Amino acid sequence: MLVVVGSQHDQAAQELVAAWTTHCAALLTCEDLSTAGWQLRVPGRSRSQAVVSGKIISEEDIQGVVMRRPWIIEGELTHITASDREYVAAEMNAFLLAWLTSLKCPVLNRPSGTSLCGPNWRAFQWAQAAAAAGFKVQPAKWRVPPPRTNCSKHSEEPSPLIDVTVIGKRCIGEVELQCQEAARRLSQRANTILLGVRLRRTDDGPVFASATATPDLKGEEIANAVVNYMLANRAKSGSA
Amino acid sequence: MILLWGIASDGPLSSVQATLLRLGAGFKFVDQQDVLRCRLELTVNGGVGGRIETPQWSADLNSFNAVYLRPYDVRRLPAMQGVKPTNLRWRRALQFDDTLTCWMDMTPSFVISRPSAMASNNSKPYQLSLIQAAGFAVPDTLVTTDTTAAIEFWEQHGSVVYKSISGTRSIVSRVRAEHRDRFPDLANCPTQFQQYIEGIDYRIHVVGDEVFGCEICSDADDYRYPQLQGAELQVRQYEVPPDVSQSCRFLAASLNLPVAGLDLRRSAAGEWFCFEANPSPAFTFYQDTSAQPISWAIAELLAGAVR
Repeated sequence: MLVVVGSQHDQAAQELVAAWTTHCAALLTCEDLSTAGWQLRVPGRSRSQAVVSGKIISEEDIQGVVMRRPWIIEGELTHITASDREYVAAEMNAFLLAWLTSLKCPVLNRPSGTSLCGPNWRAFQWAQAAAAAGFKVQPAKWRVPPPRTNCSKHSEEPSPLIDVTVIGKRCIGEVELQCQEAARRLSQRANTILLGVRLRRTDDGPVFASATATPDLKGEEIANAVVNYMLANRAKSGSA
Repeated sequence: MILLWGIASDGPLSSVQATLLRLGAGFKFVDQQDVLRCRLELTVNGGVGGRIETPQWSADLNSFNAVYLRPYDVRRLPAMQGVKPTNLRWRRALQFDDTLTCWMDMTPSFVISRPSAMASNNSKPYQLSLIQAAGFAVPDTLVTTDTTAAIEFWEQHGSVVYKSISGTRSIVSRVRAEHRDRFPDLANCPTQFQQYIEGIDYRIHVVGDEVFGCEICSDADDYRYPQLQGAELQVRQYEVPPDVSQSCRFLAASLNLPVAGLDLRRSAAGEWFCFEANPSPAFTFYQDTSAQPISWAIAELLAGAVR
């Protein structure tokens, strides 16, 4: 089974599950965390047990996990008494962090401690890491409170954007080899297997625009690459 | 220059601040109560830099070689009373804290402690696995939404406690017969149960290479709240055995924490269990009751990074 962790209101997550029906994909929502059946032991003497789409699943039956959310937020816990939602959201996030970290199968992406999916980096942290990874990055400034007028200078005609998706060692996107290598390095720095990088095409060549640990997985090539990565690395770990 | 961030009435922060004054070390204090009157500018151009402005002073962020942070949830501060989440000032306060926190992860300066390193404490079972990997014994732990699994775990160990999974402070309590009626509620949210370890509690503070031990004598399930069970509490200085000191230093270093408050218990069989590593310990209670110079050691560590 492939597990997609997302909200039941997340259309992209639902589409991903539909696209991977042949791999028995299923959506794990916050409602599943309010269902009897979860078990996690620390120290990990036994495999954990999860609830996915309402069904109890043994960890051994999970071939891979794709994260589509950085956190569970209290506002979506409508099935929990309003006064308890903040506490329950914190508990669910803490539990998911421990469970996702304990899994032996591929998790795209594993939690960092500050996010359930990769690093919880802000735009300026991505920019600094992108520069260190070898991307051209325009000097940028962030202010709190933000200025009344936008301090960044934008050209009249926004330059075209290019999306690059890193999946393990594979890089999908129509960019030069140098940019592909920089994208892989950025993925390593961010400690992610799955990374979306957006570049801006300029006269001086591609310039880093943004990055995300939850890239858009629409498109057959990317979705297949994600599945192939999970299946190949599940096999490598020696599990059934 | 040293940067202090938190609120003036916070015990550990004010204790470190007072010691820095006695040491004659230069520092600037950002009071979270001034959050709506502070400004921050961050620049990324190869490295990270910027400027911070408070009502009292302004400074280049790169002028700070060391940082000590003890921030509170800004949304709950008196300064935010009457400010609604829909208000722009609410957003400004959150952005200021968020941006300053990120800078503390990005700066090459010495930070006690980096926010990303402190994050392991947001999930106790996750942190427990790191503590075990660092070589300490940890209590058998089950996190579950399953009544049957919880009862089996209880029966297996005879005596178990329950406590929060997240960093949210909770009172550690022994599971008792009267709790059985509430077990079906477990389905609503994963709940953490832990094998009860009979023994004596110790709070060990690691500050750089220094180790400060406190022995805690109390019959309470959670010695932080002895009054709830009408229990006594005695805290006294404890000479930590060298091998345990070394394990504590190793654990703090493995978690990338220059300062840590470790909750240990020595079982009746003499085995040392570690329950938790507090990344921003409220050490003043232990300092005051055991007469150990913890704030002095922290101030020295900060001042040493500036020299």
